Amino acid sequence: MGTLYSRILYKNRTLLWKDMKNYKLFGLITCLMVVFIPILFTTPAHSQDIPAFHQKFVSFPYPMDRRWKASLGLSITTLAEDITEEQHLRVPCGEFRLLRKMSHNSYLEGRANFQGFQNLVSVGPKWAFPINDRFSMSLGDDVAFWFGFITLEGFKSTGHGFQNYPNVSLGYRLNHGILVTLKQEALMNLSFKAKTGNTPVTADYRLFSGTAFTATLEQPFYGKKSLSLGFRFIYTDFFWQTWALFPTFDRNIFYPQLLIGFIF
Amino acid sequence: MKKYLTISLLLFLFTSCVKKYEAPVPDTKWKKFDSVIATPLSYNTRQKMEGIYTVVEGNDNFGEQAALKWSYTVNGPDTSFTLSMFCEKQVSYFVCEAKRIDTNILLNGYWRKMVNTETGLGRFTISQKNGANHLLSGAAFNPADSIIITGVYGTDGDVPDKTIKLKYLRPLYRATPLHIVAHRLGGRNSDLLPQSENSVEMLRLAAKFGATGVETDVRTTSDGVLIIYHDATLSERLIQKDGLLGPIENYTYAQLNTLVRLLHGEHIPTLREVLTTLVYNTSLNFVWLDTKLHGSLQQLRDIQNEFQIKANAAGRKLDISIGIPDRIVLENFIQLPDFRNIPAVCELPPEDVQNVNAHIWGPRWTLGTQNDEVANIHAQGRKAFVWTLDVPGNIETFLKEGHFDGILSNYPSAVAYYYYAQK
Repeated sequence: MGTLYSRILYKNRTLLWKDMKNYKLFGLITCLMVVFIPILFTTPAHSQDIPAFHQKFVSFPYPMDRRWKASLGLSITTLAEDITEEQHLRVPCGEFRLLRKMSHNSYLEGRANFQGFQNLVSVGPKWAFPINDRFSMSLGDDVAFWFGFITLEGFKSTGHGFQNYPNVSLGYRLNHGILVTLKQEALMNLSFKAKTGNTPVTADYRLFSGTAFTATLEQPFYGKKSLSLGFRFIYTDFFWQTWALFPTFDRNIFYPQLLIGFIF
Repeated sequence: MKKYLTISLLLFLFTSCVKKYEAPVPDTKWKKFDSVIATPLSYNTRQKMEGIYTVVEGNDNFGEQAALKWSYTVNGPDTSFTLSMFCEKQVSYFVCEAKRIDTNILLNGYWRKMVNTETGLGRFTISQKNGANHLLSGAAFNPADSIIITGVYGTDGDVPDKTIKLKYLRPLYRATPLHIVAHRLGGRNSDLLPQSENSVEMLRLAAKFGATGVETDVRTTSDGVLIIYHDATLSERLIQKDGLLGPIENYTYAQLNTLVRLLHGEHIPTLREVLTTLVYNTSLNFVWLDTKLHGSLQQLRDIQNEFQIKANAAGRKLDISIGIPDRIVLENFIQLPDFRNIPAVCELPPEDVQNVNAHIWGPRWTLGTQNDEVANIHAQGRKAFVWTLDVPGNIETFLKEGHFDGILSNYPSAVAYYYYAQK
């Protein structure tokens, strides 16, 4: 039996990703990309020590100097073979982030991930403070709502749910205008509701469904723009983009995610 | 550069720490059970043990009820009987052997939860005062007779020490027959079962997991041997790492048999091997040959017919059906001589089922219970099997609200529990 998903989505494959079933290989390539991509795009004009408040960033945990900040980009998630079986799916998803300064040390972060047939929006406060000239950190909590709808042969599957992501970030400011952020989130499933046709789909996901680690680099990219490049490593028993596959596992499955955003 | 290397090392550590999940079957050796004075149970005793039991102790782990059902496999002159306990909670089950010592009955085996990796040993006793006396006698079953099974279970290979107690409640439900069809000859690799999906060894386990029938995937090698394999390509999802890549249909059977091993070391079976095991070594009564062939189905039809005759000759009630999953296979199917009299499962809309005279309609579960369509199929003298139903709550819903004759599932134990526990 082919999976339902395979009949709907993403039949394109590339040999590179297809052969990266071994996550250690994925990790190695990730590391090489982290090392070399910023070097490629760093220009001599920026090769000096730039204070954080002179730079553009959305992930770096630092008090905001402007009222608004935003970034637009995409995330690409490799879904686990335990879920997708013979299909090697990399799911691209648009991502828009908007930050609103609340006080000197606090701000609200809103995020929208959109694929059309399934989407997620989240919002949450963050409290950020510098530790010293180089290090800074933040504490935050995001509440997310995901929803999706797929129509197949006249039958519509719909789903939605609430999630909560308490998080902590540690930032380090490098020379050359590069900001490094390491973030850890707890992934909590507050609710899950789905129907296929008129049949409700039951699910028994854990409240504390897993954790995610994100490493992000932010730096001047081209002209006055800045680039955000991140890698997120998700370990969870339920990843919202797999809702239509109705996975039955109660074990944490690994989802690597590539995040690219342009900050303006 | 040191900083980049530090970040790289950190990322590498993150991504290297992917936990490998396993759920190995623990060693069930039990000195008391293996003693020379322990003897097999009679047919009469086994039959009287089947039923729905209340889980009096241990229900926090296994739920409120369990369905106890026997199955068997034939190994040459020997027949092995297994008592499976299909439990309500988290798709859990026990797989036990049984023996008697004097007037006590002993059950020895292991348990597993399919939704996660929890497993462990299980050892049970039915003492003389708790019903063994009656079970071991030749007397007919009397519902008023109380059967109480007491035992212990443990985690992984540890000595079992947690109490579990089951009390007989009522007979198994069998009023409306249901085919419980196990996916890929018993289950899929991602569920961490002790044998590889679509292997002969997995087929021998299928009935222990609650199946009364199986579904499997038929492909062909470059030299025209029909084999059992799910994916289109060789991949580490299904086989041990060996450097071979690409479409499986590019390899000869000799190459596959020599160079390729499935995840648990089995070889890729031929269709003939699977059907031989099915006919002569199992009690399964249905097989759905999911057709992943792009050309003529004549060889498949010939083998189907050959083994149907063998099954009939062996006194086996076995339905071997060719699956029609898409229009390409449908076109090839209607090229077969006398195709309207070939047993088939058609996954396409009911009009196509009628056109090819398939005796089974196989819609996917996401289309719902489709009671009107199923009623029409029944009115035409056909059956309806739904696939692939895995979520326990939905299995229960389809059994309560639907009218399907069969359910294909990766969790036949869950289907078995919800089916037999009906009143």
